[in-house]
Amino acid sequence: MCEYKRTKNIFCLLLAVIVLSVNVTSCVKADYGEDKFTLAVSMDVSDVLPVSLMEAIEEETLAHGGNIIYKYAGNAENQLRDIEYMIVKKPDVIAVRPINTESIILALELIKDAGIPCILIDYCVDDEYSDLYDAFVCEDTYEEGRLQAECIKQWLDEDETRELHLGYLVGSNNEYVLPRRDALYEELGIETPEAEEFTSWSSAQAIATTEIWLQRYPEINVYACMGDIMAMGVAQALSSAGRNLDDILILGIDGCAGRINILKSGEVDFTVARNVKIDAADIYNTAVALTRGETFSETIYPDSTVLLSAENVDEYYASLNEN
Amino acid sequence: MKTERGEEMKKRLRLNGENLLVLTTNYRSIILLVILSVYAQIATNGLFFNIDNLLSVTRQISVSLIICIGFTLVIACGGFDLSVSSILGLTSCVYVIISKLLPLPLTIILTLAAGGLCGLCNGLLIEGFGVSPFIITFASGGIFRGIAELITNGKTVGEISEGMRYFGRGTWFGALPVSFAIALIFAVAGACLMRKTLYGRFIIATGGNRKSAAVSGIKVKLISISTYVIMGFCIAAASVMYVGRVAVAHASTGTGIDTTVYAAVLIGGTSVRGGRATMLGTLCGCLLMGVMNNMFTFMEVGSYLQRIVLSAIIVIAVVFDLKSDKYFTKMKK
Repeated sequence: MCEYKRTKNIFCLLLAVIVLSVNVTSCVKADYGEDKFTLAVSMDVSDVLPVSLMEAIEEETLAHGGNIIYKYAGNAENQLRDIEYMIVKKPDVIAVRPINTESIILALELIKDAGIPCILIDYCVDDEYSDLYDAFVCEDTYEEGRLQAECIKQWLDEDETRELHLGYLVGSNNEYVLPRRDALYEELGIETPEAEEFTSWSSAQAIATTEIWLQRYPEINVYACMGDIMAMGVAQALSSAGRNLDDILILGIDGCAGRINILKSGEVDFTVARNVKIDAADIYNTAVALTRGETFSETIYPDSTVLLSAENVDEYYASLNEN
Repeated sequence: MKTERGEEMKKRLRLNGENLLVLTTNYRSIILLVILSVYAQIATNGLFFNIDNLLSVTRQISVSLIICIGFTLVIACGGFDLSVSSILGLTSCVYVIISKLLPLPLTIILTLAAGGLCGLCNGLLIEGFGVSPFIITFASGGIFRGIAELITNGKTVGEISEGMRYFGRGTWFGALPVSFAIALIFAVAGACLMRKTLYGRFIIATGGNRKSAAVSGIKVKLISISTYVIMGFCIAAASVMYVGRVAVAHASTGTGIDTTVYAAVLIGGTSVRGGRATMLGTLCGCLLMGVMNNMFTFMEVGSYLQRIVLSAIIVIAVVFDLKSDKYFTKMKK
């Protein structure tokens, strides 16, 4: 009985402390996002690109005098947690680049319930959940594949004796990046290339695949990759095998600032970059438009793809820094 | 006689330095929870006690709370389990894969059975060969993770049904997350098991002094194995909540959750040497972890620093537990 009484007293005392603190702090007003436009962004940390895109969105938002709340998540569970936290902060718009398009449904439902407009970036959920977001801003992956095809055509035109023997390295089979491959094949008018392999965005797997191809398909003269990370692996495998890189065309996609040396050194001939500043501006403008009540039924493709080679890479990054 | 007892009770109720120390030690998780909640409320400009935020905290801790219940039993019995996250990964993958072949109730039963089987393997190996639980569960963790990779081919498995989503996303009475309500049911069941049943007393006796427990007729090996089975069962139940929330599973599912579970149980007052456990303490420890996690997110503390703090908490809780035990033993003498 004595023990029970003591426990009861302690609980009452602690409860009183909590109630008091709630009362005291409820008088204090939050100092963010009360009058300014506030954009919350949840980004994955899968690669260099989301980080540079996040930085560009932050720059764009601050330049317009707005507030930004952002979080990077390494897995789907953490992204859910981050979004739950963002909802409590009640921003004007929440933009999400989902780590997993199935896991994100719960977060989208919570955002919807909270009455906050939502923008999905790059990865979209199934059509049956289309009412859970308000706009979808997506990298034009089809255009990226088309630009790669243009490079190949140009390279073939430079020397009439050249014949196309294509090896294609696929990063992943998701519907977001597959248009890169489909556009390339469509533009070149081929159904299947000499060789195609799945290398899951891995440089090591790209090296292993290229080494096998050098034995089985020595005639391959164009290596097109879904990402620069794999193009780097291809270049390394070819150099190690003593192949003359001048006779071979290697193409990548991404063109992130941290990887421009692969172009300068001539390891990779071309890459298709994504101007994240243009993407960021489109995301910001879409967010502002949503708060004004505008609706976006169609996917928004920012005009941000640019072809980079050793000739224009320095100029391109200098222009980015100038702006 | 009556007056003597009354005097004794008065003495115990008196708030002197000694009693205060005992109180603080016994109720440390509750006191810490309140202090941290008040601090979080102030640090977040009054957003912490926002109902949306509190609900998100409950959703976030449901999985670890269910695991903590099982883990409390294992620790109370003098054992340990380093394969927590691996079993969670395996049972999550099993749950998603078999859900495509069988109706949901049967899927859940089989998933729980799979978790129980993992626990049974751990228990049998530990008690059968008399090897340290740290070695066995460390090795079995690798095996469970490997099996998960094998059955999923290293890929993420998903496309779960609406029924499965309900456990992670559904609500009762309009707001209470189903996952948290189920976790609370587990906590109440665990508390009843520990306080009201003979089995609970056997666990404490086995963890407190294994030899004495064996001499007094308790089948210590059986009791120890059974705690690992319950632990596996709890992890499997947690995986049902996890998949319902995240909608996908991967062999690496649950990585990192073990640190949270260890910290919550140890700070909750369960002795790392066994023989002492409180489910209320575990519940408070778990809530404490949830509040801390939430506060870190608000305060923009990076995940690396969070991991350091969590690990430091485990060290502090263990050292505090050992030192306070020594101090009180000395004081009694």
